[in-house]
Amino acid sequence: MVAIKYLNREQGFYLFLMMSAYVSTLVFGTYYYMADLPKLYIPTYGAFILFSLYGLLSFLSQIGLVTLFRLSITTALLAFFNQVYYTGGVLSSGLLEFVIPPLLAFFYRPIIDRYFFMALSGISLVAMFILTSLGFTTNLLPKALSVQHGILCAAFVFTIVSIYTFLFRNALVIKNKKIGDSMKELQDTTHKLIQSEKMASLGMLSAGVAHEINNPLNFIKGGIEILEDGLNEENELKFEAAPSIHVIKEGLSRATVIVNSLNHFSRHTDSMDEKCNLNEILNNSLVMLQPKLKYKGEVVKELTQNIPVITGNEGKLHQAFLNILSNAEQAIGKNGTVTVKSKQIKDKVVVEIIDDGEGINKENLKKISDPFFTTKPVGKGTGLGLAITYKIIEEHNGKITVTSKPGKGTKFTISFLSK
Amino acid sequence: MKNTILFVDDELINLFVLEKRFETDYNVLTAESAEDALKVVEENKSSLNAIISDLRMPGMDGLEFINQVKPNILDIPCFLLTGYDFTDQINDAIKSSKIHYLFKKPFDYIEIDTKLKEVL
Repeated sequence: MVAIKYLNREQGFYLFLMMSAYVSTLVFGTYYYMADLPKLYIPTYGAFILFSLYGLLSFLSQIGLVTLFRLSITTALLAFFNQVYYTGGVLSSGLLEFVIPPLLAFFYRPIIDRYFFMALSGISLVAMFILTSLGFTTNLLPKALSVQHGILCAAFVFTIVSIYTFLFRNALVIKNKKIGDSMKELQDTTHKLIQSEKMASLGMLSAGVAHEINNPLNFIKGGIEILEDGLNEENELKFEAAPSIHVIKEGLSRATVIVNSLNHFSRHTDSMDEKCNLNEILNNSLVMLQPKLKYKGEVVKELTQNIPVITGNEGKLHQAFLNILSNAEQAIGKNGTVTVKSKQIKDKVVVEIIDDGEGINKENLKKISDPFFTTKPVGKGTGLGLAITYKIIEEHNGKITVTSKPGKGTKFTISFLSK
Repeated sequence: MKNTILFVDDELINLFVLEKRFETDYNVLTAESAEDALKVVEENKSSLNAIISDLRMPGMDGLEFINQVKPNILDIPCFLLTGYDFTDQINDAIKSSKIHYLFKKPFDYIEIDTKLKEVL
């Protein structure tokens, strides 16, 4: 059975055919030999020799399986015919054996052979009827053996039929499963591609949107400052308006922070010589995630002030850290915690992003940097986030290590050489 | 004697607030497009001290405009005031000292005032 797995359908089929042919001719041959019935055991052993020859041929020559299959089925049919002929014709308990050749032919591919052997089997059956009714056939079996022989024949037919039906069914089921799997894979990939396309166009648009928001912010800021200036001579009015002006200014500065963070994520430069402050990058990324994190959990910031800047591409680093932080945000449940640390260890700047979320199992941990690997449902994740992150960190000569315990949480450690 | 500065922006409201905000300390000229601004520069060659232009505008953009003005027509400090972040183009322009500085919208009066005082 194990060997079958690695053979194609036709090869597996033929292997089984030959095996059952060897076993059955040997069993029947020996049975008839012990009953001392030369007219039965000589042809049966003859069939065994022929089958062995075919087996040898399939190893030694280039004869195709189809040809060997035809030879084997014909040989089997002849052996059955002889057996039935000498065990009582249509009254023989071996009559059911005529089911086997059409069954084999039916499960075998080349369509013309299939019908040919079905017809041949049918003709043999009809011929056997005619021969029996004309009184040509004989029953050489002693009376004492007839029940035993009947059981043997029935067992033989039953075994062959069940094995081949099982084999055929399995082959079909495996094939269907394979088709189903590849269909699903195709659908998943299509979804992911659509999703990543969507994300890409969103990124492109956000730069323009940020700019457009900055203009109205500019109006408001200018307007409120002019108003404030105008109120300078009106002390009483100025005192009354102060809280409202403060509120407007506060709103303005919050909106400005958000829009500026957005701006960092849609930078167009490819240059790798910008001075990047990792603390600023982490803060900007947290601003972007604030709408989601605010209602879900807590962010603990342990950022070391005045850590050395690193040289690289600010926009890309923003993207990399946003990806890791956003994974942390998605991993935590209600009241979870995301801890963000930055520190200097000798000549290295190290960032740690720790969540107490669901964690990643060992098997998946190996795959997290593979493009398109995701455990999120179709349409939710592209499986590109961390793949891109790894690439960006690599471009900055950084190192990224992940440790995780299912149920406990995940820790990302990213380190860069500071120059 | 007040310094004269030119603001270029395609948004009228931006020009309005900038003019109002700066008019106490500066003589403010405004232009709604780079094309108009070129005319203003020609007309005020002798009195103009600095230019602050938006980057993205219909027609000629801020960088093109400044490239035309400087140094052929007038060699004065030029600034960008934009809602966009740095791009390679802007970085190049700053390196080649065509652009003195990039201000980000929403504008900060004190920041602009300080930078202007540094160069004027």
